[in-house]
Amino acid sequence: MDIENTWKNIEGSDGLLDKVLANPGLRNKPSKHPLVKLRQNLLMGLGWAIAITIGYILLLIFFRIWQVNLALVIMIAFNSWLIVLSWKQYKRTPTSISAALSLKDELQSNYDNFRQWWRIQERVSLFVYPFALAGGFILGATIGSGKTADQLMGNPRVLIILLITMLIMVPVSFYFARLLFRLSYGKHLERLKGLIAELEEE
Amino acid sequence: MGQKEFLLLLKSNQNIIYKLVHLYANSEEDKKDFYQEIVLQAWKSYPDFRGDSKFSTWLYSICLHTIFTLIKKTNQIDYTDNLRQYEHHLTESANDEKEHLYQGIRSLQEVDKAIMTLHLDGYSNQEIAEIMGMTANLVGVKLHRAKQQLIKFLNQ
Repeated sequence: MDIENTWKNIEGSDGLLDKVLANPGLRNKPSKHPLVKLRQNLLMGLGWAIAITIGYILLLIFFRIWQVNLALVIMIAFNSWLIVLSWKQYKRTPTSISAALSLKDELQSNYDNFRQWWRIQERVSLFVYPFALAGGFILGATIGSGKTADQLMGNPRVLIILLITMLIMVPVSFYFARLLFRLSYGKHLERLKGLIAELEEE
Repeated sequence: MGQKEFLLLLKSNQNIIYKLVHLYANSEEDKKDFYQEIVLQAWKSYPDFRGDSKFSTWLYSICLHTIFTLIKKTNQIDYTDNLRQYEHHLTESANDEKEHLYQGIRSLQEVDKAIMTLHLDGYSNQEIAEIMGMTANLVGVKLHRAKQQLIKFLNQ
């Protein structure tokens, strides 16, 4: 078989392509590009982070328990930092493919964007959850027991329970955050990694 | 450029879209998704096309970037499915050289398929290297290996 000629004689059309080209709906068809979904997730995460931060501010105004207030201030600071990080990541994530990049660079940039997003999630689970947990624990315990936070924190048993809860819950939340990320993007990242390796291998 | 003119330009180069999608799509659903996403990505990226390269080269890049990003399975995983499809096609049209060639290229690894397609469409190793992000030497090595594999497949 003459491979070159056979290839050149292949006609480039089928009903499906003709249909798409005749009515592409360029302005209203949503893109299926994974980065578009990532941007949507980032935007949703930003919305939640802002709403939760507003909630923290309201709690800060409403409750006068210094231990809870301290946890809230730390969480507000972390959340604000994460909002800025997420916003930067959102702005940096491209919405369309760049033909100016090579295929390998495009795939690498795609991969890096997802890894960057995971790093944000990682920071949330490591820095925000422990304080949220401690603040929530103290707030719940003071409301539930009717005792003041100082009285509760003076009790070594309460402190030990708080410590154990944190020691269990922080790794558990981190593990779940990672699990959710893997479930959502694991396969996509594995494929990208495989294709990049294929482009590099001798 | 308006949407109409852009679509006319795409139509005059639709050979590229058709061939690449047929090599990488594993189902009708895949084909539809690839077609729609390629046209959408091309439309969104077109304002950045400065004419430094040929439109066909630019479209090739858009197609490959889109397909490689959306690809759901690697060749290794669905190779048996491809073979089954191939056997089915063979019994239907035993002398169909084009179909035979398609199946031969489909049996290659994902990156090799792209290199082979670009090569068959007349691109030099250097041009292929720039599009793929590899060295020209590596393209040469991969192309040589892919050709051997393809010839072996076609002679079976």
